[in-house]
Amino acid sequence: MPDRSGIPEETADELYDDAPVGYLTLAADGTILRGNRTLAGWLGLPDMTELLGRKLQQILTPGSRIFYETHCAPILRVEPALRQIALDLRRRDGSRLPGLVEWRRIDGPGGALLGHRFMVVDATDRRAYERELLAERERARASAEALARLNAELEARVEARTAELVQLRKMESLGQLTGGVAHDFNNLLTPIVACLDILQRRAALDARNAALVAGAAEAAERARLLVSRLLTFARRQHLEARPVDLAGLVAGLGDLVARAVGPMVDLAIEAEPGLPPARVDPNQLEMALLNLCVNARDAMSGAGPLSIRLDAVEAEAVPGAHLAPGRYLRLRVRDAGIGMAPEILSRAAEPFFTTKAPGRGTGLGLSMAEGLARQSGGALAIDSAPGQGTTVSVLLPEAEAAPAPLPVPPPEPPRPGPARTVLLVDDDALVRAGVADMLRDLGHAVAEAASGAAALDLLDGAAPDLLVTDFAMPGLDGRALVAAARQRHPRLPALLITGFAHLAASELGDLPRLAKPFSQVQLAQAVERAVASVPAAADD
Amino acid sequence: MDLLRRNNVKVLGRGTRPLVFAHGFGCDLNAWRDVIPSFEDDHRVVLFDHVGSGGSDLSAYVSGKYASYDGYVDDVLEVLDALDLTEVAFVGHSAAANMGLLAAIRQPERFSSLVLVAPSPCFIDDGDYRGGFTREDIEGLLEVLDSNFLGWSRAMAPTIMGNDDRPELGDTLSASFCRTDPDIAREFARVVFLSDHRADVPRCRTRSLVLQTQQDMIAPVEVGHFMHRHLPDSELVLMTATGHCPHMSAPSETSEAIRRFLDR
Repeated sequence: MPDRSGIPEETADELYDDAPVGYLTLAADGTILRGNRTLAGWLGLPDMTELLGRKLQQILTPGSRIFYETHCAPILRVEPALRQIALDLRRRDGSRLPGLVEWRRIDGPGGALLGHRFMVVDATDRRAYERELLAERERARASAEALARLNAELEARVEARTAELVQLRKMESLGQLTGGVAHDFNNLLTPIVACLDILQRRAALDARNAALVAGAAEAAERARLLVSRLLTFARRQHLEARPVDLAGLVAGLGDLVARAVGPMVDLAIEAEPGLPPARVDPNQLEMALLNLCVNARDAMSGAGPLSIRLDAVEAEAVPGAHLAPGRYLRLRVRDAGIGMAPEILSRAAEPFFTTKAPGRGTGLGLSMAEGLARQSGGALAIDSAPGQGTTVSVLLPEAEAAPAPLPVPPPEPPRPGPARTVLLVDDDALVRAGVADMLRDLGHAVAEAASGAAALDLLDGAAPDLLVTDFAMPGLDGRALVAAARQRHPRLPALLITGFAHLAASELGDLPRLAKPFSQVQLAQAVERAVASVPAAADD
Repeated sequence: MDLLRRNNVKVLGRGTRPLVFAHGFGCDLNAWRDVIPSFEDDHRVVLFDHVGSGGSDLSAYVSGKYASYDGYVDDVLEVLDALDLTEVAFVGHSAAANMGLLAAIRQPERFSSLVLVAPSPCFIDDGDYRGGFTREDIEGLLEVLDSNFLGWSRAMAPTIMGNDDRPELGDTLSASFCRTDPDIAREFARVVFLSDHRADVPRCRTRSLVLQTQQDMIAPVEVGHFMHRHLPDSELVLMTATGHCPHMSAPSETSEAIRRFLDR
């Protein structure tokens, strides 16, 4: 139908030649038989004549030629069509034309392959986007991998920290258990020590019985020491922490250590000059250091080099120790002994864990040293491997004040003072009886009460000279009892006795106290101290 | 592990003489479709796919193992052993020609003869040696592989062949093409086009036939001559067929050349 505009209808040749796609007709082996002007133009040719008789492979880049021969040509032999294939054409000037290609099979008579219609679109933009997308995807994959790696690292760290936490909890519950057991033992030891004390003082014993009582007293004393070590591990020991010149302490302990480890151990002590004081209980530290040196000797079967080194480090320098920031004094005891395998190392500081033969060690040395270090605000670190020896580091916080000279032990007390009236309160009948006996033996008049409430009933009457009360009691505890008693008698002297020596001043107030178990002499001193702490006043 | 499943092994034929066909890069065992009928009467015909190609078990593809021809050669020998084949005539196309060559060097007693279809021990030009390609060309190939197997074309794969009405597509070259794993294709391409096994050619003592076509734009005729010159016991047949896949473009000429060689 003629168009009124006068523009002639386009011919099929025009459509073919100027279509926005490239067309080729190919023989079965890829020989180019016909093509359109669009494709010739894309390839930088004036027309198709130059390409006729050549092969499709010759207008492909080498990489695309391989892809065509290996992936496309085989399929084209057997399939009716092949679509959406990315191939790069090569322009006359050698540059690359990214194309998207399709083939349609031309069958001859009997279905024999005659050749193909080939169509290509310019995919320059699309392939560029595609490369960007692929690069993006690669980046995303790399990020995902990095994330997965990070995740795995985090998981490993969490696992390690969890294991640490489990160990900490285990130690914590062991500590609570040990502390509880020690407390009960102290309660049991109190009347034992008291009774033995009284027997030794008062009973007319023959030589044989006196020896038996002395043996029992000695065993009780050893039991008291053992309980005190348990309390150190449980961090419930009452620590007399103060600024201590560690170099002086270590030097002063040198002879004792040398004697303890024997002549075959080559002992070297080194201290960095000018170290600040540490904040620690010096007596406990001496005991811990002695224990560490004995362990070192045993690890070397009694012979070899043993060094004690003293220096100062920042908390960050000991990452595994979980120290609060600040400066720490570091006391290192190093031996050249057999060392420890990781599974032993991980349990070394557990109480009662020992690799020594039965009877050779309590398994409390390291746990006690660790308890001391931790309770002092420091840490204990063990560095060891089989055959590499062992280094135990005790880290103690630097003290702010200057060290006090080591205290002179108090002189043996004078004979107890005048007879007083004492109200004794303890919920444990056995303990109460033992302490009451000791007080009576000292010449005091004793009234007993089994609870705070019973004591308050008694206190509604006349005031005694002194209130002696257990701290841990059901109902009203010792401190509350004292407070209630002082509502009635404001200047009533009071003495707390307790099996938990660790209780801080904040829990006990500034009341005089006495740790169980105690001897009669200690009780006598404490009574006098308590009475003296409250100036006598005529308040009632 | 089931080797026969791993390598999608098919055993056909009514004869006893073992004749094994191995496909090249980009193909699968279907490539031999038009060649095998003429051998089924008097041979035990074995077809298989390389791991990573065709109907092989893709989960058996381990990157390190198949980063050189060694992994593929291991598989070939394992398959022959699993089928208890000796006196094997091995027909390998292109990449598989190298596998046959290397397998016969490793276990000469296993093979009676090799047919190397369009072989090339090295595709990269090197001094006087004309492999036909440069390393940059191979980089270009890897890029085209990515575009086809990673890019948009990949998303079009199910419609590529436009053959919804052909249920047997599941077992065709087109189906293989659609299943191609881009990472495997890249690694296989590197093995095939960047390896250099020229030094191994003279070490193969097995009786060999080199089938060289006209105008093979992947393995040029000079490479066919190189193979013939360096293979100690070899014949060269210059075919009238053109292109890199004579077993597909000229199956009769290919099978006749193989038969003449095997029957002698």
